Formats: sequence, structure tokens, C-alpha cells
Amino acid sequence: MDSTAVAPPSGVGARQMRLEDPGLLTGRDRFTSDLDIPGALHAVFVRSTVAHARVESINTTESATASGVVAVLTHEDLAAPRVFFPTFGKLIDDAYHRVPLASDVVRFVGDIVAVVVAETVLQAQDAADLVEVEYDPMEIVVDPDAAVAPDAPLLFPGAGTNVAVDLPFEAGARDLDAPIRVHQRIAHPRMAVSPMEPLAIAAVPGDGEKLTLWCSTQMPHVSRGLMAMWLQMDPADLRVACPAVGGGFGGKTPAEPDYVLVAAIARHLRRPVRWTQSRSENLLTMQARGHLFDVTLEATQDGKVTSIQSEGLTDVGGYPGLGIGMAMTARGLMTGVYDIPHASHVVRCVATNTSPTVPFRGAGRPEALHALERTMDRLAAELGLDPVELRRRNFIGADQFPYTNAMGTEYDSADFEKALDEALRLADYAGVRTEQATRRSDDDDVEIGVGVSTYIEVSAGSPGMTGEYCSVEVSEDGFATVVAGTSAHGQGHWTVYAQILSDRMGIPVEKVRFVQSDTEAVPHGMGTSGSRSLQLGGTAVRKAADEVVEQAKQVVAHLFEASPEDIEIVPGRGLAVRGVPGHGLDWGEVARTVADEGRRPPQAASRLFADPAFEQGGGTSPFGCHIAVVEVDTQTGMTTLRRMVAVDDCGVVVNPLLAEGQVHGGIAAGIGQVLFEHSTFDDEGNPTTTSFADYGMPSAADLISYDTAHTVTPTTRNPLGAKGLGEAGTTGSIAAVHNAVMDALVRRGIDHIDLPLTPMRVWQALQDRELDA
Amino acid sequence: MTDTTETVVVRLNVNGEDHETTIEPRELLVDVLRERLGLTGTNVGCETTSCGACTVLVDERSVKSCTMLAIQAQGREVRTIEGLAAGDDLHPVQEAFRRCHGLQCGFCTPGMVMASVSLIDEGRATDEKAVRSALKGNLCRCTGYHNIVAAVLSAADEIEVSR
Repeated sequence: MDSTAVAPPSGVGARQMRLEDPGLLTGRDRFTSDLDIPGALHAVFVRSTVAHARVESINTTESATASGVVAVLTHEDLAAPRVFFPTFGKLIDDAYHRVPLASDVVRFVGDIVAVVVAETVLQAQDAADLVEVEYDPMEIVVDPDAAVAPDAPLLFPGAGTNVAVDLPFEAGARDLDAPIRVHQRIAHPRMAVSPMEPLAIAAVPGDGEKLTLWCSTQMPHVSRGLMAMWLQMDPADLRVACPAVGGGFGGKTPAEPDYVLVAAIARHLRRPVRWTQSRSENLLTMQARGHLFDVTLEATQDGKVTSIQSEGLTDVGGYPGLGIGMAMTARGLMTGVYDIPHASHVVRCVATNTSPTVPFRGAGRPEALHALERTMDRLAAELGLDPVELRRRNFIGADQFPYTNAMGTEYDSADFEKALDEALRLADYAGVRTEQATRRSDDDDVEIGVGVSTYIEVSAGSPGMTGEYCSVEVSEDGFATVVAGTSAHGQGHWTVYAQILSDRMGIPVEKVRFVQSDTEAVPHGMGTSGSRSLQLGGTAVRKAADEVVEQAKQVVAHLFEASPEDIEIVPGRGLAVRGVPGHGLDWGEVARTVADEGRRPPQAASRLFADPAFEQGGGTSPFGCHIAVVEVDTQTGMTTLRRMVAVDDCGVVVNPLLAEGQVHGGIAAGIGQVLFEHSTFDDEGNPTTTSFADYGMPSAADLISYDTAHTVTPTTRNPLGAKGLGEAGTTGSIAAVHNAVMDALVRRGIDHIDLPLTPMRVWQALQDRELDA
Repeated sequence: MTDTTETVVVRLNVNGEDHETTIEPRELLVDVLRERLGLTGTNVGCETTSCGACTVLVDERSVKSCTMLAIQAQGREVRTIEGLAAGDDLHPVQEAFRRCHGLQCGFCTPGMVMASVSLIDEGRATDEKAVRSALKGNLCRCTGYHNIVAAVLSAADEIEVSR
């Protein structure tokens, strides 16, 4: 097949193959550690091997004189900046903020105590082994329940408590006479974000105060702002740019403590310094989730939920930071898809001597939906109701939107019945229940389980991040260039933005160039996170495209002495007077015309360019229903996935091929959390899952193919009618798989098993139940 | 390297070209390919030979280049992702990945593609289960593997037909 064949213009709704692919498939596109940075030194971090200790001494003498070493830096050599996130700054005590280069105390295994900088990576690694650190061990606390206890060892004596955040919330009227009450404590354990490309940065000082940071991040502009603040630099002197980025999933938002340390070192030495994170560093320091939810549902005898009362306990690790945001976001979605009139929740975040947590796909929303959906199944069991029926009785009706839940979160549009019915149909729910009944009556050791999860979430919902910048320009060669403030790292924005532009302008997708992820080339941006990019960036592209079309119409009208209302787009070519095809120009000619003062309309700009930007003013709410069918071998505890059905509604789908890919990836992450993945520490705070040999990162052999479908409930929040989809797969799948396994074990008298549902944990639960019985 | 560091001259044949370079004996094949030969298409994703991002072909067989010393590749034919396409014409496996949307961020992709080329060549792409099993050593966080498996099966069909 000729890979250079030009396809016909394919806009919104088309399964357009990606423009990004040739560069990635051939290895031509460069990731940060592929960049050629002449004269760059290499940094290797010396990290604490104890979870909580005073640093008595750091001996760098032998290390500093090792072959190729330029510097070995400790807090005595470098005033590393304090890392604090302004959004949390008012929320948590100053004492909790981290200095990435530890001085008197280390608070987790992995806390950085020294940095070796050498000519080559091998030399830096060799020299790092020679750094001698003396630790005076302090009392360690790893378990979050222990960390909140009054006699817990304190990580931050200055703050007086390990509880960095403790916020109650309540709204609505609670029915005190509700006869049914179900309580469940649900763990949502720590796991590793684990993008295939770990963190990587090259910090290159320029003239004067200028500094360029080539790095793997999801948010170049936001990173620039934070880094400039932490380094006390003028943002105008700081450039943050990304080449290809190998996945993020929330682990590369927004600015990394490790990056600010490398940047500070480059400035200190006045030489380019680069650092590539190892996988073991990545599995240790890029961890997420880590919540315990106590959930109580109260309901009528008919199964109408009258109240949800929950308390969260979130382990945010040695330095409370981004993990707090996840706990806050979870609160907002605790009522999920249900019309519950009363809700209370406590957001409680506690420091422990483990890795500080970061966001992972869904960033608080999967956690909330998991806790809710799991407890709904417990309520169904209590009432003797089919879990599907219980859900139907509680859905927010399709006519109740826009809807604000008891937590104050607004949902713009949804139709839960429609998604549920489609999922039930695809899963052949009735057929699975029949097969299940047969196996049960046969007393089969291998049980079938089916689990349902109905979810809603919020995309593009982060306060202050509900708008985006994009510009469109057409140049004299007839190509359009999109400059975007979002920052794709696998999502295919070049392709979908080109499709949107192509729809509006008639320029083929192959003639669309794309610029992103460079604060020097892109004036403004908020990057890519929270499933924001398509709806915000895509609408910004559409608005810019429409403005450029108006400009072009003026030009063509002027040239042919027609009215702009009589000019139309000729797809694949340019614009012409309606009904007079000969009176037209192709796009390149239009661009050449505006560049010519003698030929362009008076008062027209000299180039075809627009950047109106788009402010949505809020988020949108994707939703759906996932159904998992599993087999659980009660002899071994082993769970095998039989089917994973996902019906997701993100409104109008711009590219179904890419949309499916986003759902697949989201589902895999959800399944991973349920069956395989867990970041663990022993009682001394030593990490025990810091390589892929220990951490259950799923491979193709562990997973199955997925049955995905969409319902389409458009949003009126943007002209595309589109919502986000990048995280929905994860938000929907976790409870579906968890509920399926528990459903398989219903006859064994086990109410609940916490994640991950590894064979060992399921088998042990079965053994324990046998003993109790 | 200082004067006291032991070095050795290795001759490597990569993508049909001969290269001669001076290295420390402990240098891994993946690092020599990337750092000394500038072939940065092959990626490093872990330190425990688990992820497969570093997969290349050595004498037409898939090898994790992070688990091979460069010295061990001397006298053998190494093929990296850069040597797969013929100019602008993508290899059928690369084409299939594009057609089936079998890549997102692209970091695992060179290794995934080389592993796929090898498993198809060895006749192991018989059905979905066999492909999933054969790709056990190539991790991906973006795609959930669904489209990767479809791409491999599609490419295997195409290559079979054109044989």
C-alpha cells in the first residue's frame, strides 16, 4: 500500500488515520532523551534508602573526585526551591511543602539527598554509588489509619499533625426514617502511573538569565509558570518545550520537583544538564490513588437512595501535594448518576512515609465512582434486588439536565437508561445470568460473575482551565497551520484538529501543519489533562477556522466584485463565487492575495490568520455504562475476563477510530487496577514494587479485546457538541470488574474483597470464609 | 572515559551498514545503538528486561537490546526500527499499525513493531490468543493492546497473501 496516498478530505465523524503516525512508526520522532544536546552533563540522583530519618551527614568526597564528575551537590551547595502549588497553598500549612533536595529530614524512600553531575551517565551512576549518607532513623508510619492516630509519629512537627486537609461537607436534607442502611469500607489502593516513557529533561542555559527546558510534560505553559515562580525567574526568560512525549496519564502534570531540581542545577553550573528517570525511580515516585472510602447508603424499602454519607482517607505520601486534588475531586462525584437528595463527605488527606502521590487517569473521579458503585451493589444485595434494577430506580432522569448534584457538581446532559440498555443488550445480560444460574446449580468450581457500573464524570472541569487557545493560519503554499495550546502525548490532536479544520475550510487534512508544546511557539496554553483538549482546543480551532474563512470570503468577494455572502467553499480547492466556479481562488492564491497590498481588500490584514480562543466557562459530563463478565476459579482465586462491554457517551464523536483507542486504554488501566496493579511498601516504608518484575503492569496476554459502543447525547456547551473521553474508560471500568468478581463469589458468603483482586487475595478470602463458616 | 577505563573496539552491522566504535565492554546494545550510533528510534522503558521497548532484530530474531551487551552483537546483523521501512514505503507491519490505530504516544511502538515483525515471520500470529501470548514481553500503557493485536493479525494476513 502506498503510504503517501492522499485520502479525500475527511472531517468530523470520519475514521481518519493519524497524521502523527509516520514519524512515530519509523522512529524518526524524538522523545526528550533522544535529543542531541551538545555539551550536556548528566545528572543522577542519590535517593534516601530509609523512609524517615534525620540526615546526619553526606560524604561526597570520594564521589566528587570520581572519573568524569563535574559536581556532587547537596543542600549545602544548592538552595533548591520550595515546591508548592498555589491552588493548595491556602489549603495546607506551609510546613508541608517540599524542597526537592532534602536537608535535615528525609520523609520517604526516594527523597533526594544529593545529585551527581558527570560527563556521561555511566560515570554519574558509578559516582552516585560512592556517596555516603548517614541516617539517624526516626519512627516510621506507612499505614494511613496509623498516620491519623493521635500518637502517630509526625512527619511535620511544625504542622502538629499528619492530617494536611480535613474538610467536611454536607448538603441537602437527610431522611432520618430511612429503613435501609448499608455501610462499606472500600480501598482504592496505590498504584503506579507508569507511562512507557518515564520523566526526562534537558535544562539548557542560554544568554544571561535565559533557560530552555526540553522535557516530557503534559503542560508546558503551566510548567513554565510554576517553574519560573519556584526558580524566581522572569517567565519571559524561561522556555519550556516538549518533543514527542511518551504518555502522561496525569503523572506529568504540571511541573515536577525533579525537573525543578535539574533546572536549578543547570543554572547553578551554567551548563546544560539532562536527566532521564529510570523505571524503578518512576514506579517509586510516580504513584497515584491511595484512598480509603467509608461509604454509607440509606434507602427506602423500594431501593430509592435517600442519602449517601462518606468519609475519605487519602494517603498523600511524604509531602502532601497533588494527591490532595484527587481527594477534593472525588467528593464532587460521590452521588454519581443517582438523584440522591442528601450527601455528606469528609475530605481527609494524611501524610505517610511513602511516595508523594500524583494524579492518574480520572484524577479522583474513578475513585469516587468505584466507591459508590461498589456500595450500590452491596445495597442491592441487602434489598435482594438485581443491581441493574436498583440503578434504574435511582438514575437522574434524562429530563432533569442540566443537573446539579448534592455536592454542587453540575452535569450538563446525560441519558443513563439509554447507555445502560445498550450495554445490557451488547453484553447479553439475560443470557449471562442464565449461564450463571446453570453453573451454580451444577456447583461448578469456576463461577461466572457479571458486574455493572453506571458512571458519569466531568471533563474539562478544572477551575481556571475551561478555555483554550488555538490559532489557524493559511500560508501561500495553501497549507493551513494550527498552533495549539493543548499538548498531545498520544491523543492524536493534530489529526482531530485537522479534521475539524477540514470540515470548516475544505482544506484536506494532509495539508494541515501542527504546532504545539512549546512556550516559544505557542502564545498561551493549558496543556492536556482532564479530558479537556478536544472540546476546548477543537472548538478554538473551529472558531479560528471560521474566522479565516470569513477573511478569505472578503478577499475573494473583493477580487471578483461579488458579495461575501455569495462566496462558498470549494472542498479540496479553495473558495469561489456560488454558481460561477471560474471565479474562485485556491487557498494558496488567497494567501498570496492578502499578502499583496495592491490586491487585498482595504483594511484587510496582510495574512490569513485568526486566534479568537474559546472559553467554555465550565466542564461537560461524559457518562456511560460498563459491564464486565468474568470467570473466577474458586480453587485458585484466579479471575479470567470473558467480556468487557463499554458504552460511553462523549456527545458528538469527531474521530471514532481514535475515540475507541481512548476507551481501550482507559479500560485497560481500570482492569489493571482491579486485577493486577498495586504499589506497596513494607512496614519500614521500603517500596516492594519498583520494577516490572514485581509490579503487575498488564501485558496483552493479561487482557482481552473490548466491546465498545457509543450513545450520543450532545452537549450544548460547545459548538462541536463534544465532551471529553480520555478518562471515561477508566472511570467506568473499575467498578464493573470489581462488581463482577464479587458477583461470582456471591454464593460463598463474601460481601467484599478489596483491590487488587489477585488470585492470592481472592483465594485467601475464600479460605478465611471457609474457616469462619 | 579516562585512560584507566578499559575499552574495546566493536564492529556492528546495523540496518545493512557497518559501524566501528570504541566502547566500554559493559555497554548495552541499546545504549550503543542510541548514544553512539544515533539510532534513537529504539527506546529504553525499564531496567528489568520486562517492557520490550528496546526490541530489535539480531539475525532476524527479536532480541531485547537492553539485555544484550553490544559486544555480543559483533559479527551479527542488527536491524532497528530505522531499518524497517524502505524509504517512504512503510513495512506491512508499520502500515497495519497505522491502519488499525495500534499506536498512541509511540514510545513502545518501535519495540512493539519489531517484536511483531519477528513473531509473524516465525509463523506465530495464528490467532488472537497466540498473538497476545507472543506480545507478553512488550508493554503498552496507551492502547490497551486491542488495536495492536488487530494490527498484528491484519499484517500477518497481508504478508501471508503476498507470499
